[in-house]
Amino acid sequence: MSEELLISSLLYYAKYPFLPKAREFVKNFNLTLDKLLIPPYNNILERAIKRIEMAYYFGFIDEKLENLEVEILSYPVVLYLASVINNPFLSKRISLAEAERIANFLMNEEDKIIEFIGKNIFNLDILAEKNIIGNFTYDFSINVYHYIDFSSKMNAISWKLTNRILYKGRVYLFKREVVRILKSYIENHILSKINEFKGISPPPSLNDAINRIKALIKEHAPLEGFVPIKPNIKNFPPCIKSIYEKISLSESVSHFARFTLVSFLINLGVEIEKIITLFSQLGDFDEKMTKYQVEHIAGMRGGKKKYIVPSCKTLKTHNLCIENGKYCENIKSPLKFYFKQIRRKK
Amino acid sequence: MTFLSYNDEKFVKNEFKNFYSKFNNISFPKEIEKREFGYFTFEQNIMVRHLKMKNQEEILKLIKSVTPLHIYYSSAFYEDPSAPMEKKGWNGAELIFDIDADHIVSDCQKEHKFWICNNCKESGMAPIPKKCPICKSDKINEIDWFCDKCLTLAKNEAIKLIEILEIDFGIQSKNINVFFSGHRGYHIHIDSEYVRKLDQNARREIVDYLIGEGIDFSRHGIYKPKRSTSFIGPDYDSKSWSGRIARGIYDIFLRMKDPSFEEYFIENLGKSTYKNFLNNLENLIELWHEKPVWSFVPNIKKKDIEKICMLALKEQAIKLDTIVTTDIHRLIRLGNSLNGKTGWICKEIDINKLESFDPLISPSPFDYENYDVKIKVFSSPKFRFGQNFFGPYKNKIVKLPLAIAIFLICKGVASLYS
Repeated sequence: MSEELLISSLLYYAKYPFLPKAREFVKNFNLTLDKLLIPPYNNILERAIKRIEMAYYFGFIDEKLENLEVEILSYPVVLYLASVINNPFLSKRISLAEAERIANFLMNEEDKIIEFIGKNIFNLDILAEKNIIGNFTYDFSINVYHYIDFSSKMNAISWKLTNRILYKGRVYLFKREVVRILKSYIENHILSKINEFKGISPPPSLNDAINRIKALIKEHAPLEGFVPIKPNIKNFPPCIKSIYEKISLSESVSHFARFTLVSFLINLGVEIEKIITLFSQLGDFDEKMTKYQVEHIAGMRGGKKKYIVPSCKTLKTHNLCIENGKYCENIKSPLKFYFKQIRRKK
Repeated sequence: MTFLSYNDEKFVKNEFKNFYSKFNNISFPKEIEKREFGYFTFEQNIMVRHLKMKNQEEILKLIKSVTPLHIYYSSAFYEDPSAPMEKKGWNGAELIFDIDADHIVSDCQKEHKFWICNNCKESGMAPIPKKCPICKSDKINEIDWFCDKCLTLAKNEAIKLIEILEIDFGIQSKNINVFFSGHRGYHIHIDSEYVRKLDQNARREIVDYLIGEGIDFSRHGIYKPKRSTSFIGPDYDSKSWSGRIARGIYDIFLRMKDPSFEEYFIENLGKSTYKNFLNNLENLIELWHEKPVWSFVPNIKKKDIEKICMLALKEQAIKLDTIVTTDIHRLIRLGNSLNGKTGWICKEIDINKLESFDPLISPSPFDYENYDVKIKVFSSPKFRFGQNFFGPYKNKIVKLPLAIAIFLICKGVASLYS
């Protein structure tokens, strides 16, 4: 296949280290862990630590492609170190940043290569074909069931199948949308690779590197700063509880879900600082931005308008309602559920 | 299930038993050994479930030995169908759609919804009282009847649904099985490698698409571009909801000519929007005849367009029971078995013949010829079976064919009379 030939080069292995041929290259290189401290291989270890640092601090990794071999070989070292350290927050943050880096490369790739990766690596029934429908030219089409497998986990209304062009079992998409879908698959793929080997014992030669990363985590220690919020979580409606639990476990949640939780907590009178601490669990946490956004929702910034909690109907539309509200006895807003529970217990 | 007396129950059970003793034409589901089976008995109002059947013979044996009032199987495929729910081992499920006259708003419902007091047999039209006005008993049985109008509406929804499944979802008709429920609706079953694995959220996405939930009209090209004074929008042949909304709006314009729809349109569009369209109607119909002209006329405002789009969406949306489709453990009626609410067959229909299908032609497997079953009908509207009309009845003793007698007894409005 021509695309396969095209991506059989060091440049592509460096950009897309999950490709089987990239893994084969790593295997044939015969790099052992004890060699990582010896020049010139120590560059690989240094680059791996740099990648982890960037992921942890900034939530992204630069797209350097100067030394291709170092780029290719440092990727499995990143995953190895993450497995050894076995910190869910760090693993999440690395998966997200590595996926972001790969997605940026994909955006500049030819459509046929994106199709090849989607099809062959992630088993997605995806076709790179230009289709003019209405006023738009779509770059790709994807099998509807593969599409909803992704979109049903998204809360933004634009991803809803209702708002898509669906014809003969195919959903028509622009390039950036396909890349976004692939990014989510890549992130999950990286995370599963990290978790596959988590908790393995490293050779003593890597102790220094591991301690450096551990120190980095300790220094910022977002997990340990977590103070449970005062309102009793037991009284939260299932939808809010689910978002809250996901965030506590450092799982990624959509912006709308975050907005829902923040507005819910603010309306219960939870202090802003506590909400920010809660959000520090997330892989893409940015303290300044979170503070700004939480204060905005609380009505302390911008239009000085305190936001109300989205209604159950809106939550349903965004796929946040749990089992069609069967635990909620016809209430119309998550806050009402909370107050009803409190009253019942009094 | 409300039989009016033990004798009625015994009588119907006996007829069901006779029928099943000679009947083997069940529409068996695929992979029987992976399905859960369940049934209601005549005697107790609880479901016997978590049954595992090895093959067709076992199902027939069960039916013949227990004579079920209703019999169901799971849309899901399990490792062990007989295990408790959490230990069954879910391995996928068919995609099921349930369309019932219940879910379709129609004027006729008011006309044929009534109640009967199981104690003194007094009856009356809706609204349904909590207690019988005569004997003060609370044993009030709410009766949902049917007419050609609501049965046709349900059938049209099923046709509309199948069209979307074929055109939008690309599902081949060979993978679609259609059943008349044996009462007032249709069940549509889809099976394919892809649908089996869909989880609850993915099924919710499909349902939302079918009912138009969460629509953003601007994503369908209906918006006012910056610095423009008029709207733009999709063509009639546009794909997905885009075209459906455009076609729906033209359909609304055509009906607006008919003054009998006035109340309906005022209710759904508001008086001022309705008047705005009505005052420009001739112009609009002419403009939209060939293709939709979204620039409309100057005095149609943004809110009018939003309202008419919403109404087109509401009318084009499929009226289905959303819970059934999203439930991945659902038990569904076994094809070609008897429906205990009517004594009719849950009949499998050739998808190509659905349009001409008349559910009231021989819905029951029982005799239609001999008027030899004497029953007392406490209350029943006029109804049609094939070419024949029956009723209305009010506290009347009549001799009717077995099929009709069983139907009225199953509906809980008549008793054997001896």
